[in-house]
Amino acid sequence: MIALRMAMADLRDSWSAWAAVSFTFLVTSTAVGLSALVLNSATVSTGVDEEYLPILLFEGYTNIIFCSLVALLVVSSSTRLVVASRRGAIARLLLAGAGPSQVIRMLVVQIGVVALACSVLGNLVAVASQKAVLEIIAADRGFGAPESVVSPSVLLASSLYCAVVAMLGGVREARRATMIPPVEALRASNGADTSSPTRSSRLLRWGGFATCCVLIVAAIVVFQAVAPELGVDGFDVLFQISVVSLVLVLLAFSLVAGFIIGPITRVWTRIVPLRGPSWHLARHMVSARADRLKESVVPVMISVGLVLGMMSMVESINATFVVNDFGYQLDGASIISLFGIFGLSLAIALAGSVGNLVMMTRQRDAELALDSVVGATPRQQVLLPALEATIVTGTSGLLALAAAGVSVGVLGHGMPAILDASVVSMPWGTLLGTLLAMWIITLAATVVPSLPSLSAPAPRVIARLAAS
Amino acid sequence: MTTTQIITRPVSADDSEQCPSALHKAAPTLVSASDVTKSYTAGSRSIEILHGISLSVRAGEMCAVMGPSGSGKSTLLYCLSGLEQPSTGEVRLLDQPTNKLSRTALAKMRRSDVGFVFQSYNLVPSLTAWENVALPTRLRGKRPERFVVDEALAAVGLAHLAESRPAVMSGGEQQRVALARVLAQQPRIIFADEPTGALDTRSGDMVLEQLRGIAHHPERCVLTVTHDPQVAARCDRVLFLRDGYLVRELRTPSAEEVASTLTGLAIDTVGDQS
Repeated sequence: MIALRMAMADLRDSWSAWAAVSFTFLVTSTAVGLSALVLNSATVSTGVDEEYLPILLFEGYTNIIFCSLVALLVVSSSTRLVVASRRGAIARLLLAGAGPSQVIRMLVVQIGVVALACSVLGNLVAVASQKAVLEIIAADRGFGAPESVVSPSVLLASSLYCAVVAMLGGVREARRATMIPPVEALRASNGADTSSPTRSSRLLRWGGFATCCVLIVAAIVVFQAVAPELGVDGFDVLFQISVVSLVLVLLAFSLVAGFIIGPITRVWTRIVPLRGPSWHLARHMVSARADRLKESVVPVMISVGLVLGMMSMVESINATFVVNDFGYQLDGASIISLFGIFGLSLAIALAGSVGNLVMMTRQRDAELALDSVVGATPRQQVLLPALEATIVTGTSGLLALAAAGVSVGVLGHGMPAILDASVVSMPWGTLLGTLLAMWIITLAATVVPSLPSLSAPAPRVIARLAAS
Repeated sequence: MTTTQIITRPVSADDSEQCPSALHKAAPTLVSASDVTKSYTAGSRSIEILHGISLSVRAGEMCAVMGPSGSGKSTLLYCLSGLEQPSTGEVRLLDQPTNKLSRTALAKMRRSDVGFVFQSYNLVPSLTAWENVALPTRLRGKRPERFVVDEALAAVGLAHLAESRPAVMSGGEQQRVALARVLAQQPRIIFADEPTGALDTRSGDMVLEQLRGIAHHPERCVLTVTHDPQVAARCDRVLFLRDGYLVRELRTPSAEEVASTLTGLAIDTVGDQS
């Protein structure tokens, strides 16, 4: 009871921090709710085509599993940002005598409350979009759409499930919050976390990266060894190895994102022939904030990487079929089919990215105000976050391109072992389109929330950050 | 002079004209305020913080603003520096009315002619000390000269922290970096808010000497807000604020004179409240 009271009191004080990440909870509950409704409609409604039912069930269950996994990661990173932004408040609680278990309970209860509140709106969106989604999937597969059934019990269950997933995702960060050295956190002039990753954490992350690389190489070597025995049947195996390689590369990049984003950003932004003061400042600021920006770069990288990787594999395979005169194309490999399987989890990843960028608004506002004190013009103050969004998208795009390149490379390397001719193709139009969409979303998440503060006097904006 | 006499005589804009110092009399006015008021809205209430403040600061002058907490010192500093616009009245910086200048023009003035040293939150957290010192030059679109920035950091004794970020510096070190920025920028007007507030005595002395050096340049001036009578005693002129009114002015005062005037203001504040 005391924990609940403490959690609610602290929530009133920290609502702005949670508001930014609540977008993630909202999209998660929409995604899980929609998947659950589609599953329910497929099983309850009569007259669903026998061939179509397994597809609907597969997509429904796959979405729930993917969404849960992505939500666990995204909620964890969002909670990390909330905890980071509230280091001072948590330090004061610890100094006042709150025990570690009380702080953990307080944060977990807050996550649960915010997740449940967001699921109300998320369920409404899921109900409103269910019919359209069923029709789009059915039209893509050439079947009749099943009847759209809305079950309150399914929605209630999905809301509770989302709250549990969110709380599980937040537990680790809540534990980390209790390890904040209170006096040090309060003494730090801006409450910023200046701690670097521990040696064991570094080793673990680079170890994970190396393991992913070894697994990809091992898969290629094993495939090359068994390919002559498999013949054309080896094509399925090769496609699966390529898909797994794509996921492994994205996972490997995510593990070491904190170490590689800064250097990669510094290198490519140095090559770009822009010399204006805003560009110079933006690239310095993004490189310096790499550790926090990884929470935004990684989801964008995963989204662009998965879309680009899958589309390039599909395009390469179809082009290879044509060259080899197979007379057919991959079934169910349209962009709509891919989005049917990955779309909702990508939406959660993107929501996390947007939420994280919005979470940084207060810090960004204060930095822009400090820039303004030493002479940044209003134009420069708008340009700086816009360039930050561009750099985030650029770095994500480069990593995504590398991941897609590896997966298509695996495919291209393996195909000659089982087919007479092979073609590797990269859908550049898809890459540009996806990057453009991501840039617009990132731009909106960085520039728009900062606009109100730009018209306020700099001392007031800085005082707001100091007060928080 | 009794405390009552102190409170009842508001200082006028012309007071600085009566300055006995020949240097100040001939020098141009760099900062001036004429009948400035500043109000904030809190909910449905409008609270007036500054009530008709008039003052001027001439080139070659180091001027301190003192007063009890909540007297409006910082608000006055922000209005005078163009960071905030007064509700009524006029502020002129380098003979230009700030309310007639666009935000861009004000920003350009801040990156060249106006410098700031605040007690805290001086520096951009994601930039290193070196980059923070070079920031005004960068914002002008120019490449900062390495030796200028290096020398400025060396002058405040922080050459070894050039590549450090504010988060790993103490409050005093951050303040000295802000001072280094001002030294590299060479502005004509410096606004300082408690510039020695977070410093030990030795660092405080060093910062004050640097500020005095800048202020006594014939084309420059320093306006500082302070609580410390020792700091005020090293200024050419001390203005006293109480409840948003400019109530008293001392020229080249001793620390004892400043302290007794402040005590008088505080006693009078308590008397008014009771």
